[in-house]
Amino acid sequence: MGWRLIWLAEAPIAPSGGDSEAVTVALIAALGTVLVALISWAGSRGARTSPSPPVPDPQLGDRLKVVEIHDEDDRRTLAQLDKHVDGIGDRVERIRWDLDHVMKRLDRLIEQLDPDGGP
Amino acid sequence: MSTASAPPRPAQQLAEPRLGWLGRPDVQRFEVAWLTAFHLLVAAGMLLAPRSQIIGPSTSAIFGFIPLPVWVVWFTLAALVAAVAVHRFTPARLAATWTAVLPLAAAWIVGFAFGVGDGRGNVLGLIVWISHLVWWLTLAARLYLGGPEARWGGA
Repeated sequence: MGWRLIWLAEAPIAPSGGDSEAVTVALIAALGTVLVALISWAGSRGARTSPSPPVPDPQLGDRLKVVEIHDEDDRRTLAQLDKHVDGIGDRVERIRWDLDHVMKRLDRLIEQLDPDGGP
Repeated sequence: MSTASAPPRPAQQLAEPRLGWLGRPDVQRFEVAWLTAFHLLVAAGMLLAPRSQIIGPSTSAIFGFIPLPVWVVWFTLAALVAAVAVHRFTPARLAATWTAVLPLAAAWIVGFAFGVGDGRGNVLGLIVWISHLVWWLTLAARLYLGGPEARWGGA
């Protein structure tokens, strides 16, 4: 405990700075504390009033049913379109086959008309 | 026909800034621990050192209105609340830490600046205190941005 006695016994040293400077330092210390405390408080208040999670929609079940019905309709429409596209593909294939057949017959006719093939 | 898409990322993950290793809690805890040690050391220094080594032309403005024992108590309290914050980061503990630490640093910077302005101060003390204040401000900002549980003043 000797150090404490020495510290207390020491003669106080008068500050040599101006009074206004010392008051300014004290004011900054005091007002700064208030300012930071206010900022912290405002921050916590802002965080507490942050947007709450959305309330569950009471009509969510109905909406889901409608979406499911639309989904089923879409599936059916897609299946029909798929069949339709398949039919178009078959028809194109048949036309291509017919065209090949016609071209072959045409070649044969040309050969019969001009067996030499000359101009 | 595949319509599968990647699952949406959580909104919070998109909103939070990337702080890198400076945002790691263990690094931030070490920094607050260092802050605690610094304030304890200054309090102990003011308590143990002869007054002639503390109150001089550099610090006369600091000790002119607020007496030395008040500063000792303030530094000790700042170290205590910072130590509590080191134990576990909570918004209230971090808010108390910054409320104690930041104005204190600002006041000492202004006090040292007055001394330097008078032509009898210590510019090194001013630089050290400015560096510390900038460091603690960035630490406070990183802790605030680091996540909801680390936000001083947060939920």
